[in-house]
Amino acid sequence: MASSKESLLIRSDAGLYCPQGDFFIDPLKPVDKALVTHAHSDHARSGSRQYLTAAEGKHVMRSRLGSKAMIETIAYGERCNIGGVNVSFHSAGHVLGSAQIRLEYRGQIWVVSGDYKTKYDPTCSGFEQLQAHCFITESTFGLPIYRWPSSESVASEINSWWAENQSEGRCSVVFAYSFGKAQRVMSMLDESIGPIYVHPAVDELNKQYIASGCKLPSYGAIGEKSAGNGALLGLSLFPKAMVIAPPSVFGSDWCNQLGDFSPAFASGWMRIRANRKRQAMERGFIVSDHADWDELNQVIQESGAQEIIVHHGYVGPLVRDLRRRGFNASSFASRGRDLSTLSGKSPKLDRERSNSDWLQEDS
Amino acid sequence: MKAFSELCWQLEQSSNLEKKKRVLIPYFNSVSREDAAWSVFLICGRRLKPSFQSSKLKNFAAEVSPFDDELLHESCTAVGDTAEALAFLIADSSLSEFELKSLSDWMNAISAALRSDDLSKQKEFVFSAWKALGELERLCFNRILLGSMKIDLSPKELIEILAEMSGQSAQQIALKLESKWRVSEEFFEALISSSGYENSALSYPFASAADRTDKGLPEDITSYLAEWKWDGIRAQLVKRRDSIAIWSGKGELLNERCLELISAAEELPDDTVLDGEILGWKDADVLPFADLELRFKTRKLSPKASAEVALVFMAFDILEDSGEDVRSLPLLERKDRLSQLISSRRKRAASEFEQLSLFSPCSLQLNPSLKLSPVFQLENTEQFQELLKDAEQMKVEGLLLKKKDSSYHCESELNWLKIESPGKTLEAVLISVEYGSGTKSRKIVAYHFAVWKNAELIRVCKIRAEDSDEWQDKIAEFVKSNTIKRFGPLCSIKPELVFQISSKSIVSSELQSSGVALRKPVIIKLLGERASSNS
Repeated sequence: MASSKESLLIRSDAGLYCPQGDFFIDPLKPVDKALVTHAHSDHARSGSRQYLTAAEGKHVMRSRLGSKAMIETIAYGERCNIGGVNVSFHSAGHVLGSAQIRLEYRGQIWVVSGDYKTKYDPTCSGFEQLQAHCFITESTFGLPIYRWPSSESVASEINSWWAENQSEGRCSVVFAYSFGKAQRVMSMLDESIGPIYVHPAVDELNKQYIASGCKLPSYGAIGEKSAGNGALLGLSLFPKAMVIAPPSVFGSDWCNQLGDFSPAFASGWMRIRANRKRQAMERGFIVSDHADWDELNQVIQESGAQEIIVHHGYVGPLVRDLRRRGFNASSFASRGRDLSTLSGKSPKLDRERSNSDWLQEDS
Repeated sequence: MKAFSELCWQLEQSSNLEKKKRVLIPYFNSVSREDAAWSVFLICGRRLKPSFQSSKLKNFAAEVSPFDDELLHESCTAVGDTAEALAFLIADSSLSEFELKSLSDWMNAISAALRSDDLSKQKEFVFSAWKALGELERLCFNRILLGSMKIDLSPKELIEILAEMSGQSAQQIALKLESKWRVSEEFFEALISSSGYENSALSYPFASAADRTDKGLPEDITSYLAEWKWDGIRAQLVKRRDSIAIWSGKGELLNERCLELISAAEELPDDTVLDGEILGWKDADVLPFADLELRFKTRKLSPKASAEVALVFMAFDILEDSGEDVRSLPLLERKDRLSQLISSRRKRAASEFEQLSLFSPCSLQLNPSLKLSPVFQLENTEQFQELLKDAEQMKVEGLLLKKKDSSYHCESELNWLKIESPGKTLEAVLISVEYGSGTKSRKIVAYHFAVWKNAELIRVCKIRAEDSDEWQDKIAEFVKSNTIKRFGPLCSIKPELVFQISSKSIVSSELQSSGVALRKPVIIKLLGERASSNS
């Protein structure tokens, strides 16, 4: 096991820190140099002096961090040197511009996965499997109950639900996080069924996607309630329409202008019946931009890493199961500690997060 | 099993009754009668007995799952439902072809396995079933084993759908489901067949009273009888030779909740139908409606509620007397027949009591659940006003005036008139507001009020918000800047907005946490903001 002296990354108050190169990855607080895996708000926080991110995510990162932020980009696979550490970004397949960050220093290779998935997603580059000495993985859905159905079967579920609502003259609204999830859902839609509309927040991200070269089905945006707006779009169109909106607008005035609609929620948490019931929507579609249990294990296996650090989500269960299967696995909190102190301690915070904040799965 | 698990899934996806109908009717038409009967069994919430403890099933799973106990346990906790978690954790194999196919086959096999005392046989059965079933089927299978079936269809919806499917009334279906039945082809056949139930215990249409509270008394008051307007659940009690039914005014079968009334009704002659009010009763006195509600509002009757709230059927009319339809007889004659019926029942019970007491000193409890609502002959309006004053002590809503020569008529409301006692008002402070769910999640749907008592706030009632409320904006504004805590749909605010509230009655009640029960409270007006008060 690597001792903390050799560690290329340690966990500090401000997030993951590389002492050799003096930079942070996805810092929690404003720092001097921030390497950012992707533009979701729990990874890309404003206030740091300098940002480095993957070129594919240039536009979304800019829209998230504001026009004044100093953002440098680097193409996937291209290497640069930061304070003697060889750094490169590799596609993580999570959302547009998402990256795993690979660090190489004196022959040691560490890879930080960021958030990732390996399943096909036309709205972003596919996951690149890397080899590393130490692999730091997320574990948002790190329990074996989380196994995703194929994108095709979910897509056909969504489309037939849309067609059914249409036959009843009801608008279909899928609530999905506006960055990543919304575009993925859009990519699943069958345009021949009817018109597609989005909430302005989704529209803003869509523009960044299109500017980045991503193909999305044609759509219209429904603005905030304003005089003439409804008439302009032709309210009669809504009964046939599919609308994509962020979950936060459920129940708002914006939603009310849609008239009668069938609400659905798209998230990996929809795998669980209780979650589907809890959210007071008519349907729950299992669409996640995170790796499921099988993907996590496959990627970990193929990384060839001697050491695995589980960083986010269901940390305890995955660490314990990896150890049981002979991996040298730990969490940052327990790193270097004896197995016995870890066993049976499922981190309470992680569980709470998964139960109460599931609406913000990817934020 | 496949068709049934598919049905459960489809029902979960169906957001309204119309869609559920489109799923359930073709299902019933496509499966065998026996499978349909088993489906009804499961939808009604019945279960095979004994069922497995979830720990037992977890232990079984631990033996075949590639995961260790802790991971199984953590998964179950995350899902919050053992049956569902285990269905996810057992890998799909569909290896073995199981000889069991239909739901009936499965139910019989499961039932046998549950009753078996051979652990290894039980285990073997469960393992091979898991191997043969797909995920959705495993979910149903586990739930049946654990007796925790969850189907997104209420018994009420089932009744409605079966009624439509078979061209019978919902009451007929409800009666058949209420009678004792075992799962069989014949049961389902009888359930959906409209013949052979002519003599069933259906209710008659309910007669109702016109509200005269604010319109003054009729001139010829002597041609009316007065009786208390009890504050309970209006119901008809139907006694046939082989069935007894208690129907609410809304057409719901209340048998399950009224077991003591059912056994009291056993003593009535066959083919008797009474009209009356179900009341909560304790220590020879009527309980406030809020206490009676405790018996009816939960899906399963709690033992606590049935121990604390006894039921009484306060009969005030008779519609069928030993098979004779007496609805067209004048009220006075019906009242005579009713009092004879109830008092002869009393007499008989009393004589049995005397005989018994010869042999043993123990006291025999007379069945007190069937009571006769008293009637008052009026000579002038003063008498009526006197009675109305007494109404408050009697804990009734007011008085009913019924024309002495009238038949039991449900079309004309003029034979029965109701006059309610004046309500009470109190000042209460708004302590929290409740938001709706779904598309109403940003809308306040109810207000919770409390009163001050010795510097302590006691919650007294909840009042539904109406769109026409003039104070709505004022409250919304106040909530914005005075929120203390938000918990789920409930938002507590600083107790400073004081309202005047009117209620039909305010009665003390041991069963309500506040100690008082308010009946039908409404907001009258906003009195203003006060930091603290002694209202």
